[in-house]
Amino acid sequence: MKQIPAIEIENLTKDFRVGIRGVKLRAADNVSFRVEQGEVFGLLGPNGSGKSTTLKIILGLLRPTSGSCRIFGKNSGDVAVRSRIGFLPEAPYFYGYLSGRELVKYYARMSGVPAGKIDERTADALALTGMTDAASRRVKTYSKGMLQRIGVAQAIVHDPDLVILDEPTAGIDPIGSAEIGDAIRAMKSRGKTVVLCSHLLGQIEELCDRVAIMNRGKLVVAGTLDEVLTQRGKQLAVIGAGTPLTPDLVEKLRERDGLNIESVSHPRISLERYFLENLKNK
Amino acid sequence: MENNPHSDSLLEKFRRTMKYAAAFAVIFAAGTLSAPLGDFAWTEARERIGTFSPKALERSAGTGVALGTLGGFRTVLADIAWLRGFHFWSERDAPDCLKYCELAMTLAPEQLFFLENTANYVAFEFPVWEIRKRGGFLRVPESVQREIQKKALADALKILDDAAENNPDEPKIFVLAAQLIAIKTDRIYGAPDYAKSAEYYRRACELPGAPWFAFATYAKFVGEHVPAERASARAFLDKRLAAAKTPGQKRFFSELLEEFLVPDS
Amino acid sequence: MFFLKKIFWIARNTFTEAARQKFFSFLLLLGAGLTAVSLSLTHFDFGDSELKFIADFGFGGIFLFGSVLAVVTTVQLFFTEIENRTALTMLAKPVRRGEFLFGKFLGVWCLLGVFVVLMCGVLAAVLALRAGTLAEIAEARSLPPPFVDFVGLAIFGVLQWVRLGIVAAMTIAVSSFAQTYLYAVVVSFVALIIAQLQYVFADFASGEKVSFGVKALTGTATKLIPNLQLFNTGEALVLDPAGLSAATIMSALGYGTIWIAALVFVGMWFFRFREI
Repeated sequence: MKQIPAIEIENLTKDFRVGIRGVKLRAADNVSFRVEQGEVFGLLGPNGSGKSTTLKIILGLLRPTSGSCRIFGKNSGDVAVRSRIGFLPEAPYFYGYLSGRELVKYYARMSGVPAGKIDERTADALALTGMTDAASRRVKTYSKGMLQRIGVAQAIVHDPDLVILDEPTAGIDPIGSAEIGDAIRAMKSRGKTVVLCSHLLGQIEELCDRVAIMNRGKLVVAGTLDEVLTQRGKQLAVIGAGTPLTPDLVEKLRERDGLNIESVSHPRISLERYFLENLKNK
Repeated sequence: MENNPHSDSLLEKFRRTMKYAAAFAVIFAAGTLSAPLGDFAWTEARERIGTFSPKALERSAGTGVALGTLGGFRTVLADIAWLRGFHFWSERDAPDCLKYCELAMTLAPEQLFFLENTANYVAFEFPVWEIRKRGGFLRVPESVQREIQKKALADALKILDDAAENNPDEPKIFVLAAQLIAIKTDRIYGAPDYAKSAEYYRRACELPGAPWFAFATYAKFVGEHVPAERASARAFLDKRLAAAKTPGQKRFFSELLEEFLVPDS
Repeated sequence: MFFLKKIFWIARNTFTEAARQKFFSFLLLLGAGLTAVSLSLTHFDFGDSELKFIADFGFGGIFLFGSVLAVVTTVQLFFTEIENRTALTMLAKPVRRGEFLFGKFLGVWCLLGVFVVLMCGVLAAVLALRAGTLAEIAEARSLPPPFVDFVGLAIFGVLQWVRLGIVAAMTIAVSSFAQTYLYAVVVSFVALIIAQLQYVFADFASGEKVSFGVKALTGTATKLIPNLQLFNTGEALVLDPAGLSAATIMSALGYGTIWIAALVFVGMWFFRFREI
């Protein structure tokens, strides 16, 4: 039996009214994609591409003008489904007068974590994000990186099935960034679905199974990294070591059988190159 | 993202309008539903808190009355307004002085201190300043001075009449008016207007808490100078004599009747 | 029952956040300090009784600083949270917008309750202190002691709490559709002043000289604005032996409750449609 997708978006369009004349601004234009359960999915796009709008619709914070968005088979506007979602917004701002532990506990309560499990879940989330040592300090004393990590902790404290992280490594040093990458892998290994929005394309390439790229409200491409980045019009031959690869030899190789070729594949460009080539002039 | 120049559909406009209409309807319903409770509570509360009369608001609009409406600090704001008015009094600036005196009276209508002093300023100080401004007592013709004094009396009486309208149970306001008429008309005409002064004393005496000297002055003025009012005054004081509870009160009213209001033989 | 728990935790969190802010302590100290200082300012009074002068400071402090607290704190804890996206993390949890808004209102209202209790406590202490001295003076002159009703002061406190609740609910309703911080604060203060003068509109609407059209218009307008002067009964409750009838007190409380419910509902209604 086929598994219900974690996220299923069909023909999603979102218009905003701007100014007193009510001129419409189309933030998402007929967008469709699916995120399967258990995968790490990257949602990419330049600023103003409609990523945040799409995320807000997934979270039920905005209503689509047309089209549908289903989370685990249920309408994204359904409040109950949000107990299965964890969300870290971009540049989060939290209650600064609470300590990190109080903050995560508060969000655990709001997520419906049973009273008897709040302490345990809070400790787990703090440990997973490396915030145990700083958990007693007030949030307003945290650095930007610590804020991001406590943000991840509140997003995962109720052990959600779907975790949406908007720029989770913004402002975090490389070590902290790698730790968050490890946390994402750990979530994937536990069967969780992760949606990752990031400008760090290397990180996306490293962590994501599939990606969707948006530009000016429209979906440019969606698929596995192989599907998106592999250049199907070309082939790549990997020649064994010690083979003198001169132009004459290549000519001869064409004429003769019995080539010493270990593998042949399609060349693949980097995600960053794809991003720049496909989006910079559009 | 891209701009879509199409305007909203009629349905969207209708939905938006309905959103505001529904909010309006809820507030209106709350206003209507709570009105009986509000009206009931307001009837008693209004009597007790001394709200500003529309006339007072009209007079003092824009001069800080809004501060007073914030509820509380009225006494201290009235005091500050009075001090400001006193500053203009010391500078002989009648319009500004009156403005702040009126603000003080508006903020604390129950304080007779403001009322008494404002009436006295208007009746006695302002006409003197006006005459001096026009050249002094020796240079301004008598007839003009008299008109200034008459206007001052009328203005002061209006202040007291307005105050009496808003505090109809306060006998001291009528006593103030009666005294002011007696003194002022004496200066203007050379003799007090006993009839008018007695009329105010009578109104004061009709209210509970009227001072004893108000009865005595009323009886004296009527008995000695207003023959047409004697019968009425006698009947009024006879009633008070009958209603007197202590021997001292009985003696007081008896003596008044015997001294000033003996029936004509 | 989960929704009640959520509302409770949002309210508690809102209350804790507000109570730890310096703004609350500042207004509380200012109001309480002013009431206490009024003891030494009675020389500046012209004619009223000393206790009335002191009480007036206290009543003024409760309403003026309480109103500032109600408006600014509500905008800060509700509107600002939407503006700086803290609300995003909360509403991404299984929390309904209505629960979020109601929890925020309850948190602010509890804070206003604490403010009123502390201010009334200071006022009661100052009044008791001065009334004791005045009673000794009165006794020496064989005069009756001055009258202060501390139960009346407690009732006045409850009425002020309801009045400030209406102010907070008005601010919540305005914040639910406001686009800027300044707009939310300014419109809420304007609404507060209009509500303080509601009876003037009502008087105008019931005037005989007013035309039918104007009467209908002002009559409708008075139904859209609560009468906040209704709660301005401190003097009658605290310094007047006659007090205020129980029916009037209960009617005022009922009146305030209806308005609070309606205004919070309107806030929820607008917030439901708000795109954040």
